[in-house]
Amino acid sequence: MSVAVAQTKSDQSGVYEREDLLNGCQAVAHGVRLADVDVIAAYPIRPYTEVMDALSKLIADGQFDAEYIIADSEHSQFEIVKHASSVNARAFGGSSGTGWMYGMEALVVTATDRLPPLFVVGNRALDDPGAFGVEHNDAMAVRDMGWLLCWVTTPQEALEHVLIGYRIAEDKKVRMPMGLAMDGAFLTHSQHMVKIPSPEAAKRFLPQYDLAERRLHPDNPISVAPQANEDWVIEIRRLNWEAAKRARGVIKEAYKEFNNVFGERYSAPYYFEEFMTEDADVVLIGLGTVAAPARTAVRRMREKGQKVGYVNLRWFRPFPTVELRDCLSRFKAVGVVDRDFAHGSPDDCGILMHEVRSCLYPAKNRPAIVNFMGGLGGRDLSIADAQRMYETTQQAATKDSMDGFITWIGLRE
Amino acid sequence: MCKGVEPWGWHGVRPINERVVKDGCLLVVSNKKPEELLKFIGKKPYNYRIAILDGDASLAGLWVNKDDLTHERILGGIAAIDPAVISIEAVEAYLMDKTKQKHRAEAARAAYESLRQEAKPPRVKTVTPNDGIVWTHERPVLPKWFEMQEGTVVPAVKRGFEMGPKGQSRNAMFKRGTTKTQRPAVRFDLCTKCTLCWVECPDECFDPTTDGFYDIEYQYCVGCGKCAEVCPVKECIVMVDELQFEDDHSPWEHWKKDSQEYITWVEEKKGKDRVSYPFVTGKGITVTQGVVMPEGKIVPVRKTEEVEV
Ligand code: SF4
Ligand code: SF4
Repeated sequence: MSVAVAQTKSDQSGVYEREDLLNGCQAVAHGVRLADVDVIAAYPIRPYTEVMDALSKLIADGQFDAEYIIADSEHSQFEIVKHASSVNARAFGGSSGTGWMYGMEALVVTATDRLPPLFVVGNRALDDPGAFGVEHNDAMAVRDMGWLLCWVTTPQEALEHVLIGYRIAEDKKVRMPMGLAMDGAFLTHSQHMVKIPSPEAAKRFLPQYDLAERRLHPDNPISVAPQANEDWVIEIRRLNWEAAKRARGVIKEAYKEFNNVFGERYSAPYYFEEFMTEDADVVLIGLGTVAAPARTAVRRMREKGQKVGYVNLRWFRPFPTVELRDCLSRFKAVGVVDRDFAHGSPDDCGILMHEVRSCLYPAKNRPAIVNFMGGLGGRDLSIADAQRMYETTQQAATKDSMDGFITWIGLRE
Repeated sequence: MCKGVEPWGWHGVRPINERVVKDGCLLVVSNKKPEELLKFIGKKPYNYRIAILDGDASLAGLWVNKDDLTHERILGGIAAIDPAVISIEAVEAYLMDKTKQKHRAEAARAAYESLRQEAKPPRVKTVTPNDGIVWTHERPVLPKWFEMQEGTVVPAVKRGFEMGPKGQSRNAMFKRGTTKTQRPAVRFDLCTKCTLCWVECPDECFDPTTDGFYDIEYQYCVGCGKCAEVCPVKECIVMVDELQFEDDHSPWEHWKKDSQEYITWVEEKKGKDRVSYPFVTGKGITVTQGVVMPEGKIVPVRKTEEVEV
């Protein structure tokens, strides 16, 4: 075994081939193997680099067969992925931080050309200053371009979302690029036990990629992405808007089908996951690994009789507007944890805060809402931090003013 | 461009006066008279004006800047047509301020004077609903958003090829031939069937015929002059003024039908002057005298000793 560190047991159900200790990057590599990806383009940048390392090792060890192209930069890397996708090859790429930003031009056209490759983003703070730690501004940069964007919290979910992601992205009703975001270090490089699906089960879940009438091939002569100017642009944007809206339904179907094949792994409404929210007065909502300290804080506070819960937002694009509005308007107060920044934006909140707040605007019962800027640059968000965020949110539930509307967590002051 | 324009949206030819409003004005740079231009311009249901700024065709400002003062002259022209848009004084002040070159402001002023109502000869004419031709091109209709293919995809032109006129599959939605200022006139009797025009034409306008010649599909010819440049035979392909032609009929079929009549016709179109436009700058047009070659007399364009080895 190459990537696997230890093999503990074989699963009884037959849909899993084994269980291994894997970090997020290695789990993604197994997802790519199981998705039977045809073309991988790679260019190193931490923390994404370990994804390409793990993939090259799988290929070198004869466990996986794919075209593996080392590009000369992220821009070329993403272009290779885009072009491979347009000729009906299932394609995979990925990056982190400034690398992701450097290839931005290619990332934009992949979306506007409505091609469905999957990219992993090992979230990393943007330079300057140079920092390896997590921040979400990198992946967030494509949020308005027509991308699918989701955050996972464990290596198991990372592996599974490679399969789920391709299924959604490649669906005829969608055909949009898929960004699979995972927090640098906290997820990319932390090891968990991971159940690895069998290739048969993966195949049952994930249909063949078929770009059909849009496949670029001598037998299907088409021209992709001509200069179109103002005579066509509005119509093209409108078409793509429709696909982004349709994606919501396709996401739901994909999870249902995933549960059919692999057992009840995910529960409705799929786009996000509620933890101990049933009778909660106050919840925090966040993306990615902040779920870990938040859940522990919830458990501890619940022991003391405090009605708190956590909402782990998985899908950021398309944003689960209606479902999240219905969910959050049940509570007295909501604290939004942003591992990103949006300086100078309305009320100077983080990106997630804007999205959540705007989604709640038409709600009948609008909860009090506060924002936490936390864990920037990869600084740890501790259980104690999470508890403090809950306390602040509880206070917000009882007051009318916007005092303490934004709190910076973990800041030396 | 009086024959029509095709926007980049490749959905067909639009009349040059499509957006000219009632009592509006179409400003054309040309050395033709309004009546000559109206032989190509579609009718409008209302009166408008046509103003002719005397000059050679210039594409200044599109992809090349010939800097032949067309920019400046058009500004002056606009000031004459409708001073409410901009006054000539403002044009002059702008040009002086921007370039500090008096001759530019003077060119604008001269253009202005030439188009004023009082100017002699008058160069602005009222076009009535009776003037102009019945527009032959179909009105382009753009698809609605839900009728379009997703993913910025355009179906390619069907592959396929037949010998003879219009034998190649071409894009019916994007021809570009209406905007040329000159077209190649061919003397098939002088052609050596060397293939160069067919190979070199950047727009693949040449259709091979069963007897080994190369017919021209003028609807797709942009008038670049490449074929005339590469043709090795004297007087075989010559670029001539586009506005002498009211249709795009096949020159090869014409020649096949009556070769004597064709040669007379084509020589008449060619006239005496051979005008050559230097690339890019457009400055220093040279005019030489052409000759009418006797039928079948093949003379190389360049003497062999001129060829550098
Ligand atoms: S003038 Fe240019 S476009 Fe026209 S036929 Fe000759 S080479 Fe082709
Ligand atoms: S380049 Fe001239 S001689 Fe050669 S095939 Fe064309 S027309 Fe004939």
